[in-house]
Amino acid sequence: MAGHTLPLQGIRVVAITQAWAGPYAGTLLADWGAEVIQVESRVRFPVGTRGLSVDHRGVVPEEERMWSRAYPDWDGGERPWNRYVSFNALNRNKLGATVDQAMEGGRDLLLDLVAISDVVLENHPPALLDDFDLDYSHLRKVKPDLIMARMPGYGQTGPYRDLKAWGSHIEGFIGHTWVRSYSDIDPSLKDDVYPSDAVAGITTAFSILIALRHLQATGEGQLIDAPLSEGLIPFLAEAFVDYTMNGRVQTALGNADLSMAPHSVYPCAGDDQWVSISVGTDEEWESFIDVLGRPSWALDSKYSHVLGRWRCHEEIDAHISNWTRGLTSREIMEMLQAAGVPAGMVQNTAQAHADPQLEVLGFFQDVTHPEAGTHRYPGIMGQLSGYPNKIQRPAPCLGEHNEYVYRELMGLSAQRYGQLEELGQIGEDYLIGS
Amino acid sequence: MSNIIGPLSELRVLEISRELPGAYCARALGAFGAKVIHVEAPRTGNKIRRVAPFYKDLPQHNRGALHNHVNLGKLGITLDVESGVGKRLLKELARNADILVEDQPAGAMEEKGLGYTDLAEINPGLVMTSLSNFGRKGPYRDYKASELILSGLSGPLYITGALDREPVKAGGRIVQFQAGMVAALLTMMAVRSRDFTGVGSRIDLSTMETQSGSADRWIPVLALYSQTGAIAERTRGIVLAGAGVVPTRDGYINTLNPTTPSRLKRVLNMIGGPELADSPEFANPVQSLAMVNEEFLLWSLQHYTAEAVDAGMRHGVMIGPVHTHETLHRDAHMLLRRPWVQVEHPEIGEQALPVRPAQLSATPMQVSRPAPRLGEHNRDVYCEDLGYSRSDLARLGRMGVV
Repeated sequence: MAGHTLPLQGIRVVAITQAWAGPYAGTLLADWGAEVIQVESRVRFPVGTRGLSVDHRGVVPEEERMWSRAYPDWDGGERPWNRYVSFNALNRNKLGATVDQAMEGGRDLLLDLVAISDVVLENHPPALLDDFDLDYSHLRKVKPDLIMARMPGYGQTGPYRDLKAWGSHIEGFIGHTWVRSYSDIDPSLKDDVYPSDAVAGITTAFSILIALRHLQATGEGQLIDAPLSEGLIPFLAEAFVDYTMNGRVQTALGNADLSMAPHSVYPCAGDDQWVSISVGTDEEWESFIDVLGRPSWALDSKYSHVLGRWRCHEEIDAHISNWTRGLTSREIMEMLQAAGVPAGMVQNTAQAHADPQLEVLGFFQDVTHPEAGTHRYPGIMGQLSGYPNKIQRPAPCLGEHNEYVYRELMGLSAQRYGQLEELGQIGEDYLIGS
Repeated sequence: MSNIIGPLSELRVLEISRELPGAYCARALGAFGAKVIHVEAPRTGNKIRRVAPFYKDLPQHNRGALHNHVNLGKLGITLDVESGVGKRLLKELARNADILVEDQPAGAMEEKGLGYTDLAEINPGLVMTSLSNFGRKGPYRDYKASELILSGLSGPLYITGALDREPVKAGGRIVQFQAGMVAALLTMMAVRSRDFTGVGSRIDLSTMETQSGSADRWIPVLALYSQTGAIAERTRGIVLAGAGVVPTRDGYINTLNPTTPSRLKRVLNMIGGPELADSPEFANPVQSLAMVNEEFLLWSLQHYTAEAVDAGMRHGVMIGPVHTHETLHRDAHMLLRRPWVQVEHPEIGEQALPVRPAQLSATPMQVSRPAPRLGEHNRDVYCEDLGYSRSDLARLGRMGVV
């Protein structure tokens, strides 16, 4: 079946997206053939999306080097927003155009673009579009069968409607912060994680596919309200239902598991190296202590059943750590897996890049970006038989495809295009300082 | 019971998954009207039935929280897919299915004569969603996995926690749920192609890829390594301060370091008014960070969580409440939006299940029935769908096939 067009060929998406969640949803559609146009403003610098500041030109000082301020070789260059590592990694396969609804001509331009598109995707507080009469009811007037997906922090209704949020805030709101991380620390000492961004992106892309099928069957578009918060709530169902069903409030378990022991992360040879081990059954425990050479501590009969191991899991963990410290995480993983015991390296990003399994899966892919150069990027998840799952194009530079979008797709005259350039709508840089 | 009408209502999903991702993938399709037939081993059932917590903590295979959540709305049948008759029945079921979701060990479907090429011959429109932990080939192909192992070998476990301690897991089974949701997305891609061409396809997806390609920090930090050589680490020295999770008078809130001048201004306005906002001491966000955090903490300790959230909203400062599952159920916003459904379960009674990740205005999610008891719908599927007689079914039961 080679040669099929990709499943979303012919679907055009206007993506007014920032940070991670919205862009991720757009990327998952672009990966499978949708024409996703990332629409950006030249007067609002999207902090966290295209960098932390518009002014981060040149080399990042040693002491300010962190992943949220990363450029290739730590050099922001002349146009740092086009070299921002996170943006370029998260926005593959898209086109880029500029427009700002708050500036003269912007609203009409955006409406004209929506009129020739199938889907509008956005993840801002509702006011960003609503204040300019660009909510669903207004957009439908120019595109009656439009699908619009909105991904605010908390939803299009309710008292927190206008509350701004990153993924980290959402984790706290939905109870994830409470039930995760070390069991022996105050919640204020927990670091931030962001699964809600990823999950909202996937959920929204899925919802758009459902809406497209409904559109195809009935001709009817719809509004999708996909807040970051609600995407992740179903994934924490065990804690949620334990409360609604049993009235129990779950707390953090660290790396422990209620039905497995030993079950933790153990230190290995090398600097900051770790292996995770999950012994589920009593047979796995026997295989495990075989690999350890049946040391005397492990032969205690109270360890032969999972309940006994669970009660004493801290003392078992101390013994295991003494063993794991002498070996590399890969050695331990391979030895234990060969014996049928679930174990895995806790890989850092250098190890992930060298991982033989990801190599076989062909996961990473070299991509050349006009301003960031050629680098190895995380690729597309999964394969559909008969379809290539290759990255087709790098993330767009700011306004890189203005000509294509406004002249070719929308058919604006050269004169109108020139006017929009003069108005500041169309361009390839920012009109603001820091 | 009548089938619900939805955008997928004419689609039949056959699910023979053993693990969570396949079960959740099928559930996601079922929520929009697909008829999902969930196949389990006779007598023992799926291992998800044995996952705690249980209703009233009694380990009983119809009463687990996870089972009731991920198998909601499905028809449940039993079948020994290892037996000769079982394979034949499975082939019959697959002939009538639009989508097959499976996570058998690599090569097992082919050995049973149920590989994609075999099934595509009798059902060219079939979409076959094959899921695995690490892939259907390669050195980790047969590796055993757990939520913890999947997160460490392919996801952000290494960078989660504090640098002076061991990496620490996220909550619950997020990694496996996420894989299930990606599987549902790819399945819909294949369904869309099939809607236009009439031809199905095989999806090959590993949980490893869904973590390696996850926007939970891992994509950016993987790219960070290939573009700078820097290896992302866990957070260094998390200190009690005005960023991240911060205590209030009655609980905790989550906020953000004010790293830009405009953010800093808003924070200072909120905690100390214009006097603080205009103070030259606080002009530089980087240099004044420690001082700002201290002022923030003094402020937050004087406010209740609800007050702090309110103030954040008024001043445009990102603040969210840190909830337990108890306080979440008292939160006014949650009580208004109610992203859960009430289901009547024969053994548990009224159940609230958090099944709605998004609201679709024209095609809302619907749930027609609670998770099935083991083999509850054998008769509906084998007799009414496949046309076997009641005595045939009884014979299959005696043979241990169903």
